Amino acid sequence: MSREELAARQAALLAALVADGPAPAGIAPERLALEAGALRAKRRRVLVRLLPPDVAEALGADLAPRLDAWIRGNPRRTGTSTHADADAFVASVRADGTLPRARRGWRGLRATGRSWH
Amino acid sequence: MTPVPEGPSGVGIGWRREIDLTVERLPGVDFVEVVAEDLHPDALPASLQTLRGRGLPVLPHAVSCSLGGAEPLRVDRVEHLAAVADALGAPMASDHVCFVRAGGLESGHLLPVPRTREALGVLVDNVRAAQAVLGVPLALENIAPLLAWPDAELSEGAFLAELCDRTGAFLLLDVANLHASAVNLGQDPDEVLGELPLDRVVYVHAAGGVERDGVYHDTHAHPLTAPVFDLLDALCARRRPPAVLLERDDRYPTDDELAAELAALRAVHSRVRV
Repeated sequence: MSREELAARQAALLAALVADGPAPAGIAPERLALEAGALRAKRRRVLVRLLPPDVAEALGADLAPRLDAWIRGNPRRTGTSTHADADAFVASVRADGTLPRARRGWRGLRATGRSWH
Repeated sequence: MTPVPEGPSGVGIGWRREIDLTVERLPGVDFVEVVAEDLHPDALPASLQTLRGRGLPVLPHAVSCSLGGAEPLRVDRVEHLAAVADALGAPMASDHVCFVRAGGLESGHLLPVPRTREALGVLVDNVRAAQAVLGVPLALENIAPLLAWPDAELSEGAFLAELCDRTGAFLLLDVANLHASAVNLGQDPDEVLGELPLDRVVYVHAAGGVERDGVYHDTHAHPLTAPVFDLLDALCARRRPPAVLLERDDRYPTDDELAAELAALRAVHSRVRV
């Protein structure tokens, strides 16, 4: 196996894990699903920590499903920092009008932002 | 005896912003480790300056160099690690035996490389390139795998041993990850310990996790478990590493609980063995 082949196999595994790519041969499907879930959970934790408090509060119970949908639909591209990932998620929420303009301060951040992971 | 000049000794804890004051107050902290990607070398948190002022070693630990990645090395990630190490006056730096990006995507977490000759060659090349950028010795950490690639040509111990041998890199041995390999991949951790160059271990990571449905999850969000203490004990019985560090990243317990875990690690680490 050449370095190029290894690069292709690594890309195929990562695509299967985060971008709905086909399952690579030779890797147990249930472990693939476990790893994909672990990567999503890790990204959720990172995103929640980086969200502005008004976003977490405004979304309330919708935060978890919105984040999950974002993570599944928007694999993080090389060169995109975790901060840029959080900014893009917030922009997507603002774009559809879910997020009120008024900031309500920090109260409630922990209750809404950290209760579900 | 530390294999790295000015390397850590004793017991340490992973510094995190959420527990910065806790880390400053905790008794029995001989050194700390910081995630390099969380820091900017020009704007170190005041808490780290405080710890540095007390003479505590602060060791940068990277998660994004992707040293096992077969694509060209992102030298900017290594340069960031080098700059953080320099700003901290650190005697060493570390990252993992893993890949985190491929095909234009970021995994966001550590993924295993195939244990093949080809993947080993990639690691050797990338580690040498990273060493050329870093101004301090580089240590490499074994990861906690959830899945295995097919067609492994070397055991984990032989793979890591040859990697260290060919690059001169040191080992940051994670005993919780060793336990994860045992549960998740069926490896015998004692065999791995037997194959590793234990004289190259600069320090050890210990962390908590949970086992669910026969799979061990290295969460860093749960208390340390008995198998992790047992592996630290088995390691110390073979050759006592210079230092051991507690990693806790989430669901932070009380200061007393953290202090108790540090004391428990110290008890195993410093136990007199005949």
